Amino acid sequence: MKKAGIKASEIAGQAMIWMLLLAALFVSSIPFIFMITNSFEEFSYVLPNPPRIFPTRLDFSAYEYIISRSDFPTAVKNSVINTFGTVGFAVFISMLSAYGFARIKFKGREVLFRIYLLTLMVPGFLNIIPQFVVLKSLAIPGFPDGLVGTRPGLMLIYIATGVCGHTFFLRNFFRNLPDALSESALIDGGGHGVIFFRIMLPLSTPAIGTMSIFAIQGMWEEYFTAKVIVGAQESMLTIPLLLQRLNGQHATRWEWVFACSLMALLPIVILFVVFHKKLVVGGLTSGSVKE
Amino acid sequence: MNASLSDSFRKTIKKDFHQWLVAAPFVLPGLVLVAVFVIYPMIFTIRIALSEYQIVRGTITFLGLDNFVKIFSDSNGRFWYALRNNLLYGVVTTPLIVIMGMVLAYLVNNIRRGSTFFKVALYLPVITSWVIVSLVFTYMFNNSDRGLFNYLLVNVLHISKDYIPWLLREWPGNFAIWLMGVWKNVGWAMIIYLAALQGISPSLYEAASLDGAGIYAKFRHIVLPSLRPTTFFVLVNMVIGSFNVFIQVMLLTGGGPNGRTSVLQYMLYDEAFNKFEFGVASAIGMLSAIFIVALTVILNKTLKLDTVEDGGAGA
Amino acid sequence: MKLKNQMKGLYLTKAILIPMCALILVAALTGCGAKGGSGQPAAALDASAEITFWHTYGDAENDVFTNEVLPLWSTAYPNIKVNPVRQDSGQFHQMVVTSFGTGQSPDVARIDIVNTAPYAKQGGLLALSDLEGFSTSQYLDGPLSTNFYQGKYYGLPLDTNCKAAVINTFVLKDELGIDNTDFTMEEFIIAAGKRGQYSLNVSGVGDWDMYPYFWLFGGVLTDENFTTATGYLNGEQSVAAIEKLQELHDKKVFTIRDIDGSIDAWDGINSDYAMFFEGPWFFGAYEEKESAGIIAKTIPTYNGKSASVVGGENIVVFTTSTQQAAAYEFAKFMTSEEVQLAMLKSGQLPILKSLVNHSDITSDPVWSVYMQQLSTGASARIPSPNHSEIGQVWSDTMNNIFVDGKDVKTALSEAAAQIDSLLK
Repeated sequence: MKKAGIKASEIAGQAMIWMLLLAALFVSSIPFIFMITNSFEEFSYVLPNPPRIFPTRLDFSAYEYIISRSDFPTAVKNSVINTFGTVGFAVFISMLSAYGFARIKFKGREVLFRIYLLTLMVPGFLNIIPQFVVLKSLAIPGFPDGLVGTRPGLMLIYIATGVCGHTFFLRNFFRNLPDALSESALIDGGGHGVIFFRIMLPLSTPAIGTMSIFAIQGMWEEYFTAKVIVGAQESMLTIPLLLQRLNGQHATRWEWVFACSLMALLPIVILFVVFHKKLVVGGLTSGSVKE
Repeated sequence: MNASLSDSFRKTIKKDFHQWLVAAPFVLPGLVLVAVFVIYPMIFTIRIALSEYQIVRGTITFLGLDNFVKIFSDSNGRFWYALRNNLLYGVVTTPLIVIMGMVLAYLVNNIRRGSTFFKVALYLPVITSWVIVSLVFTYMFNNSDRGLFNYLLVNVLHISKDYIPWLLREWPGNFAIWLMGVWKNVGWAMIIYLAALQGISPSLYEAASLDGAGIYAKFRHIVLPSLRPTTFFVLVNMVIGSFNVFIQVMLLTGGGPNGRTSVLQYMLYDEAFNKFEFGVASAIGMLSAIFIVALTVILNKTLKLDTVEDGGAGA
Repeated sequence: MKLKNQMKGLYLTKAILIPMCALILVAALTGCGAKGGSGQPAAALDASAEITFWHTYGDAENDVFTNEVLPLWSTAYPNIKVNPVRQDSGQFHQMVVTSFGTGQSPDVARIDIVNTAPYAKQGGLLALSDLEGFSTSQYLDGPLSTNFYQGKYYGLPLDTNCKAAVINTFVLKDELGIDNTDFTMEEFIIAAGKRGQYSLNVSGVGDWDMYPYFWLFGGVLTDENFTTATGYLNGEQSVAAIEKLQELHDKKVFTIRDIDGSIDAWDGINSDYAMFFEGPWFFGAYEEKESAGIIAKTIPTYNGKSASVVGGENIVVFTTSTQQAAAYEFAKFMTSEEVQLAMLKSGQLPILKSLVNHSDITSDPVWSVYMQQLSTGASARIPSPNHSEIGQVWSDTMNNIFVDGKDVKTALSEAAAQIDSLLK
């Protein structure tokens, strides 16, 4: 009798949870539903009246238009290369840094780390001009005119601006790993290189993976730096730049914008759906508050 | 005496040098990049904030604090409106994000089936790019009956008689910016809380269940106290975030009307890239950095006390 | 629980102020060397050269430019290669500003007329009137004048446009009872006043939108030489012009979309509005306007005079260009009759006096109207390096009047004082 009572309240509780969550889900999906609906329409530059919330038809011509644009493959190619190239390098360099800050004592370590922390709080908007000037003066072999307008130039800035945040996140992760492991390695005569590659790296895959996914998302949507550094090179076009191009001066074909937006969003959503179970968000929390 | 002093000094140097040598392979690659592309530009910005910068000629004339005086004494008070809006954004959106994030996380954590689905679906706004989101919101807040909100308010629900020019008025414009901020960030807070909730030992729940505690009682007496540190983390992030509001303002309202929906970052952008006032822009950048640092420090001071002293007591 | 332990001794508190001070100190001590001077000597024309050209042409214009204009150029100047770069129009100004800071400006660019003076003031543009072979006589006065800054010309006019009236003849006839298209503004106002529903729409309160109305109803911004606004912008005529607009607004003749939340003109002209003012691109985006009864007309006269605002683009050479001679040659080439006629096909109206009565224009129902509007009544905005600030003062003032109900005379006087200081 009592058991059945608990069960009934349990079911009622679950029903309540479902209702609340479905309501929340509906509200939070409105913009997405709206985008999907309107990507099937044809606007010829004016908005429909009344506004469409649910699709009235299934028409993929906006998608076909975007895919058939001659600049679409270029944009996809560049976005993919830039994003994965940047994240790969940035994460590796940051892991090295984070290990240095977490596990090696050296003079000035704390001050340096605080400077890293400080850079995260300062708006980085105006940095673009000095960054550009530096790139211009970097005339390395193969790039006699400097790195402006080149992929290495753009990626260099992306990587550099990512290092502080990534280091910050990973340092805390490394600090939380048990000391005993690395101490034994030190006693066995292994240097920090050995500890880093043999012990830390394998242990920190979840943290690295989590951070990479967040970094990929950030890079994928980056607009401003790309515009300034490679904006003058048609061959360096990225998806966010393409999206901005669709948003016209005098009028906008919304179905193109939405179709392109949704296509840009898809890879990131897939990434999250596939990896969401592996994300260690807990590390993120302790990351910012931990001494 | 003398010899031993210089000896120990030499020893310290030697030790320091050795440490650096060990750390260098790890720290140096990152440090070089950060120094060249982040720290040097920041120093440059600080210098510009104290100067007049003629961008084409590249001349930098030292001015002292003139740029700051200019910002504070502007007759339209644009800076003060921008600062006000940053603070309001934080004050309005943060509690909503914290509460909604916490509640959603609790619900998702307690659902029997479908938790994965809800978790991912409610997280979608977070991974959608700001530019895309702003475009959608611009469309939904369209000033005429073509906009979703106006259509709902006037034609469906009959709450308002006239169409509201959302993005062109001080308060409706700010409302749209806040709404977007909440919508975009709730999922993030939820994920953070979810991680924290999963860290709460199941034995606590079991004990409470035996005592006959319902969902609400469990939430009140077990969950809420355990979530304090997480709440602090979310709070700090949201407060810092409220000083980084930019894209939504640029794309939704452009700071209008008369700068009443502007924020510091947008003002900075406008001064630099529309008006060539790089000195003023840099000064605004410095000021907002100071605000962020000050706020973080204050939050730390006040909230730390709280959490450390009675965090475990369960209030 | 684990989290809570980690809370102890929060990092940020004491630590951040120190490095911050250090950074400021470093900034004060180090001089991050100013950039070197600009402006290399112009290369001789016969040598082979390569120049970069920035533009914001849309799809249609870009097609004509790439497929017709560029081949013409390479035939005429086989030694000089032009690299066109298509920028998106939204961030174009910011791109140019950034390029000033980085020294990576193109050699030559198509820029909005209103930005010519600001760029010139920054020292970014080459004074073309200092160069050999510079002449102004072939250009229309209005577009040409936008290149003038402190005694010199810093660019050549490239294309022009203005606002003209877009009229829905069906609404005009059915709702307002006007069945001809040669009506005056006075007639329109009387007819629309009886309708009790907005008939005339303007998008916003910015200069580009409001100046035509302000001028049409007799308003004056400054003296002829653009040196002072006080006595003009707050003069009797100007106050009367704004009050006229207020009256029309109250009578539901005239709506400001951004203030009333009314339907956008591009949309509402199909059913609700009888008229609005717009640039020629309105007709470029639509094919079957005429069958819907929507036509272009010069803006109806008020007190016997029409008025409009001039838009368009100039072509300019940058001081940082290493190929100034070639860039200047290209700029001149772009203003030649042949190129102007080619670009006209994509709706870029020409800036040459010789083409005003060209059959390509007179035979076109849209372009002929815009060219007529340009020659009968269309003024440029105040040519000033502070264009952006002046525009802001203007729209702030309009907001104060139309939204907050501020007294017109007071608002305009304050605006005039602010503009005065921006014109100095």
